[in-house]
Amino acid sequence: MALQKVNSAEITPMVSGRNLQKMFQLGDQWVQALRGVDVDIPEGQFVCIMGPSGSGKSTLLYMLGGLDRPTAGEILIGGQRIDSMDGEDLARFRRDRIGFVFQAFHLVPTMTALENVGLPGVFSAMPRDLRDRRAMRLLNMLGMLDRMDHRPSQLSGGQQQRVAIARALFNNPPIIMADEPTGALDSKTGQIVMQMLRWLATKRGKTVLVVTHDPGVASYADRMLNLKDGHIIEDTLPNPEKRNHVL
Amino acid sequence: MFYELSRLAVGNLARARARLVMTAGGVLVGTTAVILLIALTIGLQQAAEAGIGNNASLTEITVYPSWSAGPTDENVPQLDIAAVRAFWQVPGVAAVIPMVYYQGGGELIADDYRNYAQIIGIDPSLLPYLGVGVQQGELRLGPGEVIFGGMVGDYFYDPEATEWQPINVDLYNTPIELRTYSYSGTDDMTNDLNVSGVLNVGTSNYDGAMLMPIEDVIALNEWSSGQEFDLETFKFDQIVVRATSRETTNEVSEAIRDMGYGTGGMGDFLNQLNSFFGTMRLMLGGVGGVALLVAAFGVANTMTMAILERTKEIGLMKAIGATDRDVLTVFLIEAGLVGLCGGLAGVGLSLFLQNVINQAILNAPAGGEGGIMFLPFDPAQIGGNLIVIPPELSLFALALATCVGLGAGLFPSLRAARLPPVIALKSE
Repeated sequence: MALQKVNSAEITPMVSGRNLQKMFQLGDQWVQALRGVDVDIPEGQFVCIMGPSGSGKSTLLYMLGGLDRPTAGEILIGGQRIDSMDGEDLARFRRDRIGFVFQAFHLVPTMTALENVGLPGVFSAMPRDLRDRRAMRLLNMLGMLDRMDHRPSQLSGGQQQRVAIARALFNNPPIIMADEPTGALDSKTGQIVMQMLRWLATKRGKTVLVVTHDPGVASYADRMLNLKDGHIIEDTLPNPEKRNHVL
Repeated sequence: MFYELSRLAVGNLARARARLVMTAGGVLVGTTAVILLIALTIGLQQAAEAGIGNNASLTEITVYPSWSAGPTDENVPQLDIAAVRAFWQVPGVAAVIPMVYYQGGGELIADDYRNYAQIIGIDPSLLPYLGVGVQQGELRLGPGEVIFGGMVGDYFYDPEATEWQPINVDLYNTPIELRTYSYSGTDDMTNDLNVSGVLNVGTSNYDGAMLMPIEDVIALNEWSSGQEFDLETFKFDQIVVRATSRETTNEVSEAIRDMGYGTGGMGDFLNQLNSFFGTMRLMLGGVGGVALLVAAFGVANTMTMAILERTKEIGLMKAIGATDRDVLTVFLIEAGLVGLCGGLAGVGLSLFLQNVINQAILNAPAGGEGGIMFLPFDPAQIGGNLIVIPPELSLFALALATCVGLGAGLFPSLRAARLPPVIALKSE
């Protein structure tokens, strides 16, 4: 496997971080989670962010997704500065531009699969019938239509994560961000989820950022960022031909 | 947007029904307490007002010289002709009725029987404003005519009898004489009375009185005291002011007090009564309010628990595009709905209890032995309406319960809205 420095700034990057720093207060100690990270991710790229726990990889993901704010540095998404946005604009930005997928799925346990997928539409005041129709289409795309009236507790982990992916796609965002999406799944269902994410990047042109510590997951990615102690220590293209690989 | 968020909130509530029922139950108890206690004061007030009687007495204002200064103080406004003229100028006054009492002794004679009556002189043209009606004859005072109070005829007595026993005399159809004595007691005269009417009983202050034209009484006083009447220095014994309506009574009363006089009458009494019941309402409402306050803590506790439980859900909502305000709205709607549900149930329970209590009171033996001793009136007299819940009270209670829910939910909801999404998502 040839290691190769990536020049990812040929075109305007979809996701761009400049000198990102993050300080946490842990008890009476200050911890520096990110120590000046620079990253550019072009549209449609499938990026895997790896590193040991405490390396700052989740912090980086949440920061790029507008869920967390950097202590210092700039973030541009689609050319738009988000680190200086106010809370309300940032919420709208997340709603329209980012689809989040979490390790623990974070489905609302009391809602059906259909209602969970349509939840983002509630915050854009979408009428219910329109919401349901779009949610059904997404569930159908991910092979979950027959489970639309099931509650999360009636679904397997893999099925729950597919519902979560459908929800992430609800507002048709250009960027999907996943935090350990296979962490709670067995390897087989984990592969299915990764194939879906891969498919979204290849066929739908989504920019996909996945945080993981599973090297098997990394094999789906176009590009791998390796973090340690708040720095990117490795930026590689593990499998450049995967870019065109269709599942 | 609000509609969508409301649906979300309703859905959230519907999913935790047991908790909703228990939390709203607290609000129900508080709302019911507030409504019933206030409704009780309304019922008692209506009963008391019903006891006061007719409308005429409510527009009547009795004026007397102020007692704050000594009676010899020359600066104290007196009940003279100037006062009468001044009162006529007060807006809202229908009539000013000055009265003169006969100062000497007077005895009524009907055959062998005797009685005494207070002789009151009044301007005959003002009779219609006196708020009285007749049971016999006419409400008319021509020169030399008299009108008797309704109870004068009931208490004649026989001066020859060894034991006092009231004797009833039909004043209208029996020849009556009036024997008057001069101030010094050296002179007396007896006149036949020309009775034009007898007043109804119990509706006025004139039950034991005899009304005469004011000129006749002035003449009697001149004869009795031997002093000339002088209008400019004369002081009336009483001035009754009639207001145009019950609503203006208070203002008229106040205007007259501002002129330095004292006032009395049922209207004033009613005002005191109203302020008494107003205080009572505040106190009892406050007692109910304590119950509602306890319920508010219940709502606050439930909302705090719900938010702790659903911290991840809040983080998730924010991750998928909910603003702080959206989250605040959802939780506030939930809290307000808990209050509203409790309030609705409370109104329902109150209306039910209203029927039960009023029926029980109506069916209970009235007064006396085995009766309801604590009631100062016969329940049947007010149709058993001890508890009166006007629609405004129900609406007020509903609004109050909703506000209690909103108020109690405000702080927890604000906390939820301000949760940083990353922290909420990572919470355990």
